[in-house]
Amino acid sequence: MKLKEVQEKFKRSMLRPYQKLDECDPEFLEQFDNNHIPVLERIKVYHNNVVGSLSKALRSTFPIVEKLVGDDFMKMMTSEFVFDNPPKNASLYQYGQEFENFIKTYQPAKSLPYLSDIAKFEWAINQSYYAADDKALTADELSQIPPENLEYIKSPLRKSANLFESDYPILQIKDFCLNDGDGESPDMSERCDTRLLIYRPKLEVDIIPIKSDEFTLLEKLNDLSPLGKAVENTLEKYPDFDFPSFLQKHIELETFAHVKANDFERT
Amino acid sequence: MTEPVLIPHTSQALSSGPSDHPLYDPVGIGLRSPHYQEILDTSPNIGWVEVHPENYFCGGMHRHYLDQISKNYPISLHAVGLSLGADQDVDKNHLKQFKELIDIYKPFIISDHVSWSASGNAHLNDLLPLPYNKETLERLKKNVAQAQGYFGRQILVENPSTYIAFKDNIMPEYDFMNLLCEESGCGMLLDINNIYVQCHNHNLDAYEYINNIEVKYVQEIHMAGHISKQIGDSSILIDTHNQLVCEDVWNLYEHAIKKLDSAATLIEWDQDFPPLQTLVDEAARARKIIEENAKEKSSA
Repeated sequence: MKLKEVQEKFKRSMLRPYQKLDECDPEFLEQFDNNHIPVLERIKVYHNNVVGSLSKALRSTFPIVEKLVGDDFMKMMTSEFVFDNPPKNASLYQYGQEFENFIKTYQPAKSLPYLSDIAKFEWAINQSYYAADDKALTADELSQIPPENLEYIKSPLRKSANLFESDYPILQIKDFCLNDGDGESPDMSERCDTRLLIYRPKLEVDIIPIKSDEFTLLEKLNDLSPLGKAVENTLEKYPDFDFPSFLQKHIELETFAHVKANDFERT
Repeated sequence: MTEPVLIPHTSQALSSGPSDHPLYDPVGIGLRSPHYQEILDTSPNIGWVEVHPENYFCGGMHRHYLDQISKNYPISLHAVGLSLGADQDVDKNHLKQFKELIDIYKPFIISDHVSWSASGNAHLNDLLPLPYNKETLERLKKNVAQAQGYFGRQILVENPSTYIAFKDNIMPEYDFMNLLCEESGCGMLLDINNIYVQCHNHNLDAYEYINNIEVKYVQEIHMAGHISKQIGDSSILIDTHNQLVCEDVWNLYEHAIKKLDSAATLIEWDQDFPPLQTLVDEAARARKIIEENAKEKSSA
């Protein structure tokens, strides 16, 4: 058997349930020495390593999901995720982007409709934690921009910034889970508008609850809308929006990325 | 401070990949996040540190600490994701990100394994076994050449722990390793624990393995712990890197050091992390073996 075929079949044997390993292609199993320990037992060592390490990586990225469903359920769910969604590269911290969508269609988790939003929330935290380093836009820098050019600046958010929305009380669920179920349990019966800015000003990830108008403007700025146009659109939707307070708050939070000189120019 | 110890084989690595730090102490430890701050605070007696580059293709905390620690200790970059034995080209994006770290941290050694982990777009996060035959050798040579060409310097390749053997093997692993180094110009990272695990799992003689390694290729040694799993009447050893180095592996190490004189030696520990001092103590034990061997050689 050629190397490519061996590796393809080896991969397939790793990405199948443990209980189905004995259904491996007999021609593939024939490739190996069958001495004092049976081939299938040897393949199982690799299966444990591959599925176990990937499941462990997911459990480390999604600790709140694990708290909500319990250890055994999480091991089963992550294993099934691994079979259809192996990593696309060798950096494990980039593994798990599709977990949210997987959960949405995962029948055994159907009774927890908020679970996929929790996965999306934890993935956003993961993305912020590992995002490339960058510098924040400072008040000094902002003050150096000629006033007549202010409306044209395109000031995207920091590379680590993620804007997160959900109909569920995500922060209450997080606190409840991370306190091991102590304290008041979140009220899941009523729809709630959760809007969060998740970003990494220095080394740690911060999670900032934000209002609808703030969310709208941050979203537009992140889509590279010029500041003037973005504020105008936000005011159309939220006439009471307080832009000066917004600007002061987000300069202090270091939400905006350092802008290059040419970003100040009219475009 | 440890007296400078001659490290004959590391000098080759230094010439192919200069570090900002000369290597005065041949024994290093794997750098893992639970120990970052303590290493900065206490400057433990270790010669260098090794990291998996795949954990640092990012910004934030990990890069922050690597930046700080690399000011005090020479760095080795030990990859787990080039998948050099896969029957496909090495991923260009992986090479690019790896090269960025090489340019920043100027490691004195860069390395990966004689194994594969990627097939198509799937990365299986394990060091998977290869048949030791002509086809595998040619593929490894091609991928090693691609990596060395891209980095503009030599890489080392590590002998793996395997739990299964191919009927297609046409030579022992040590011959395969020697041949790969000879024909591709790469160096060898000799993992003593892997040799022990390998030989136990396939009924081979670990001392015979070491005796057949071409000393001139070896530029680094790895030492780590493993676990044993009972299967029927037999046991299989699994290379878990979560234990102290066992006495049999220390004995093998002494044997290897007598052959090699010395080599940059790494204490690896990749899960269930112990206190930093445990790694520092293991490093001290390796250093003592190197120093005693050097004394014996000089008095002989």
